[in-house]
Amino acid sequence: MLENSLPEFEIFFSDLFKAFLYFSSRKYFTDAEALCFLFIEKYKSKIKLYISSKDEPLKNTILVSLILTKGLQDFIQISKLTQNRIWHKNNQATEKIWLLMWDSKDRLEFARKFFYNEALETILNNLYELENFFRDEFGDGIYTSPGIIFDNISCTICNRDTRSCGHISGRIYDGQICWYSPVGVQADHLAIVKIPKDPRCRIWPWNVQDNPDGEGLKASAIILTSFSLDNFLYE
Amino acid sequence: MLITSDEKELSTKLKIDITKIKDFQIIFLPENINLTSDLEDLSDSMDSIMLCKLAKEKGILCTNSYELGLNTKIIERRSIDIWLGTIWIRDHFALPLLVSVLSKVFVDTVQNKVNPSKGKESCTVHSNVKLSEGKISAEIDYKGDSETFLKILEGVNQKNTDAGK
Repeated sequence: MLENSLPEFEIFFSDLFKAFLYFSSRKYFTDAEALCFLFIEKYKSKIKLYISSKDEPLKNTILVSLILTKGLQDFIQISKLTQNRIWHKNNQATEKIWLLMWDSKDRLEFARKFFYNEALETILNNLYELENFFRDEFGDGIYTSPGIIFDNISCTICNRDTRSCGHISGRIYDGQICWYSPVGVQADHLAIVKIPKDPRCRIWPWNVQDNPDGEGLKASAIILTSFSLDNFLYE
Repeated sequence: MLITSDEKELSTKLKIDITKIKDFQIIFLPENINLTSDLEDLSDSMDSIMLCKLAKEKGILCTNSYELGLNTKIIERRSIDIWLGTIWIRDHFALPLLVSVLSKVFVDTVQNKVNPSKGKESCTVHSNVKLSEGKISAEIDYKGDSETFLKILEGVNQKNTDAGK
């Protein structure tokens, strides 16, 4: 059943959030993750039905709820992966948790602007503690920071060149998040920085080695991510 | 607002209709406007495009190179620095609003991206600010912290307000 009015949907989502907290607090991670998965799958496939409706508050609330739920799902994955107390000795797990942490944090911080809840604050505090743990264990880190040139960038809300419209990236307009979609992409330069725009582009020390082909070092790292708050809706 | 000789020179260089700029308080122009004479090489920074949108939202009468008919490229740098391009101020009365918009942009940048443990409270700003109003003309090529940048803009506004008294 789809909830057809904002009050109906809010009650439905509030019950779902309570169920999530129940499973999460008892470490029933599989159940918590399944709950998030089912909600996302159900509303992701149905969101177009809402988009065509004229009920903007309902559309916006469903979108924020989806982003919040995806953030919770990311958080549960982190909780599962960090159950092993020496997870930080495993390079692959460390890199995966780092990416999940930023995805979860970005989504939950966005959702908290619309959905204030003490339990959500507690989850965010757990993520901030995890970030501090990373800092203590691995330092502040260095990051890749590319410079990219575009021929133009179109707005996902009105499809016009973003320089000629008033839509602001990251804001919600009628049930959709505004993003800028680049056209004609060229790499301009790659910088190594201490404070990046996207912390996902971290260069981990174990991925830096002496260059076997000559002088200097050889590093493998993420240069650019395609992360956006709502990208899971289009997967 | 009157068209200054600097603006006439600018419109000739960029091949834009000078009457298009006369009603605007601020014009956001490509960052490399002083470095190249080839119009095809001009590029607007993503931060400058965002700033223009936010300034319009706040009620500032402003425009950008695209709206003036320039076919510029767009450059995005994924670092914490903020690249504001060339900001051409035609009316210093718009400066308090611009400072207010910029303050919010800087605070959001620091809150969202700068690691609090590093104790850094400002981000690095790159911009070329040109003031061209009546007989007053000044240019600042700035690279430095965001707080000082705001103080400079506030100072320019105060000086012009005092001069007008």
